[in-house]
Amino acid sequence: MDNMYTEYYLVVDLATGTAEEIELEEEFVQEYVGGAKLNMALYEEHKDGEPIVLGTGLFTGTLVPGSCLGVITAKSPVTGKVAHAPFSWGAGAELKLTGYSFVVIKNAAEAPTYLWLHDEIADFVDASALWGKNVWDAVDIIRDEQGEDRIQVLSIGKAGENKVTTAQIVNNYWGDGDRFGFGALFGAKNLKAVAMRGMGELEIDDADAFIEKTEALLGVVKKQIAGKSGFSALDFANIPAALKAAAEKQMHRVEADFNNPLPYKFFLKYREDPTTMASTKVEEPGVLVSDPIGYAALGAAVAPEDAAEVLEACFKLGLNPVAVAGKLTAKDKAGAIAELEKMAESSKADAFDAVLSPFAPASERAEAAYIAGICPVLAAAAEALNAEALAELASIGTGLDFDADAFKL
Amino acid sequence: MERITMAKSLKIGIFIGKGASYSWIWFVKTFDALDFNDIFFLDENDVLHGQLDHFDCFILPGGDPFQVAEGLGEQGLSLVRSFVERGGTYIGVCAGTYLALRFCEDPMPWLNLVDVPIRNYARTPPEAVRMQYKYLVPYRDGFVFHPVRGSLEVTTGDEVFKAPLYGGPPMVAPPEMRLLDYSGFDAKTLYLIDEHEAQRTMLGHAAGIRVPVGGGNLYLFGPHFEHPHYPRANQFLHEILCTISPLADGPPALPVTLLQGPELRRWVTSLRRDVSSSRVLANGLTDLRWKIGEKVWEDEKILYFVNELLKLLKDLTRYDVLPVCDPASLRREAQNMRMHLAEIRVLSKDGMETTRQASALIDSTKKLSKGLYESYFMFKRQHWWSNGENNRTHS
Repeated sequence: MDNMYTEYYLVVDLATGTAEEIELEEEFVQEYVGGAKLNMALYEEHKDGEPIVLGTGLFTGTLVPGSCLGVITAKSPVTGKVAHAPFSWGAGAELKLTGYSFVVIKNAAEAPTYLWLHDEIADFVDASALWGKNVWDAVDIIRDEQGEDRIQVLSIGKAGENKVTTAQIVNNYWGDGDRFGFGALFGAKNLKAVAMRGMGELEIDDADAFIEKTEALLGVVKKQIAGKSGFSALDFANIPAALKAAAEKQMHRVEADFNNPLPYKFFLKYREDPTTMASTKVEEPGVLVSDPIGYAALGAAVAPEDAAEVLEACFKLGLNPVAVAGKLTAKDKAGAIAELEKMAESSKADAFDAVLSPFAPASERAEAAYIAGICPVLAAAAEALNAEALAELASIGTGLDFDADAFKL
Repeated sequence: MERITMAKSLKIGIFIGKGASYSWIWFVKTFDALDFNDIFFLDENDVLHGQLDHFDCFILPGGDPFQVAEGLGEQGLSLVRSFVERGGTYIGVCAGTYLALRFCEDPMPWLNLVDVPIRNYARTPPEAVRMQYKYLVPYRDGFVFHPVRGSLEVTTGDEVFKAPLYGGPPMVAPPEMRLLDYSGFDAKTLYLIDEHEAQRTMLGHAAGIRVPVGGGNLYLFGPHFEHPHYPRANQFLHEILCTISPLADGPPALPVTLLQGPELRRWVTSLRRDVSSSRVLANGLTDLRWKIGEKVWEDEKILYFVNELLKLLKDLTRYDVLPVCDPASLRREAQNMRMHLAEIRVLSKDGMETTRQASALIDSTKKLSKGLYESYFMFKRQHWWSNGENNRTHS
């Protein structure tokens, strides 16, 4: 594919330790566009290898507002059906710029491994020393081993290693809304992590027109989300007032994903004064609430002022906070964290109620966002990011013809 | 047209030995774009072994003239002088220009082929307003200072065009020598000293001169006309090359291993793996500087080198066959490069000194770049078929 995507996608066989580059053909993109839709096509093509597909949307890593989204597609051990989970922050763009817009990970490695993607190179790295490490330590070790703090890491903690269905894949240090137990799939494949450093470039068919349209779109999007930041951007998360009040006391800053004008994530500090802006010697001062729905779920399970610290424990163990919140019996922080540690070690696959349906986007715009590679939270908040507008941009960027129907699953 | 065609067969040697900075890559890229294929790379050992005899043109690019002179030694410098006197063309840029000039009464024992004063040499230089760490170089009982850096304007005849300056001198040369003058600054000019002082020092003085010596010529430039982002400046360089008659036979052919098919792919992939890892590591370095000789190297220069290497390797990935001089040694240099960078990262995190490692890193990077560009130009010159045969033998 000449424009908007990389030339190749990658098919990794963990059992043989081989990686094959396959040309990403224009016709394939014309039919499946990208993100969840194209991932699904790749999943079907390779389903004999029980694949996990990491993919990017057509606009991921470009100038289109909110172009941060990557999508994980696999058969959920929770539902038994194929589902999609997001990965945002910097990881979506980073994957595309490694030179592989899509990565199909098949079969299982014999020994703990992590996949290291950089400049169209796929390395299989021994992860024996990482197995058993919590997510935060694993991320630090990988970054140190490969020599860059900007390496983006999708990894699992103990929960995933133990194939617990409440496990989730964590994006660097922070959970990213994997509700489908994909962490357990990484564990089953002996895959501790996928690490990425993307410094590639993308081509655009009509770059001038694309930039002009994108800038105009950004202007409209900014008007539509004006004033929204942190809690005011989080109506969907149903955060109760008591939890908001507790969070306000710990609030340090709001954060946004790569190229996302909507800063709906926020960082809470509870191990030092939250008004401290400079770096201090406190190594782990708090947590990024990257999964506000998970935070809200934990806030209902434990004391509101403890929810952030319990969320941190979920991220370190690689547990899905929404799934584990309902199981917590202890109301105090220490008790809850102790329970989480036990949950991460349990191999009881049936412990998590399979109440989640397969991936079902909340709206047409969210559906389009999962194909386009745009933050679904932003898409939900900004009407301008609709399928018609995305189809027009897609046609300009690729030189192919897309209509709004292309952005439907 | 005939001159242009003839110029394409010039045998051009670029010095990349001790003291040469990374800017020689600009010459390579620009010559490649201009379709000059007889491009060769020389270090001090090649010069000392008499290799200059095989070239029409010897380019001494930017870098550290103290280190270049030390590397070449009196014997090497003498061989460069003989090369020019016997009819060769010497093109000096920045360090290569300083090396050739005698600009004070008691010059360093360099080439000293041209008696032309420079405006940026003083016993009491003006004060720096920025980049204190690299605006001044001690020379004998005075200092060479750098008034500005970056883009500026030069004039030749009635024409004005832009070129970048990174330390080259403004020369006080007689009209018969002058090819172009510094004529103005622009929005991208970075002033290292007071703006008015910079104007007084630079403007109206020679940015490029031509000096006949014996049967040959020296072209000495302050700005980097070879910089690939300045097409008109590149054209100026091209015009000069078109005035040189190609007479040399080129250096003797090197013994090569012809890599092809899966063997070539494995070799290129192994290099790409190390170079990409080096790029990741180099990207992770922050605000490191090393003073090697009189030259200050910033970490971004390493990154530039590594980025260019990776681009070249990506191009080579598409080849079916490639002549390579000693593939195993290039493989080792790629591994060394990665190893030195990893070491620098670890040491610098603890605030430790890394100049020795940086020097070794630069050495490995140069050797690897030289080897890969040699292969690239050999391929371009010879047009190897995918079955490993040289199509020149069929014509």
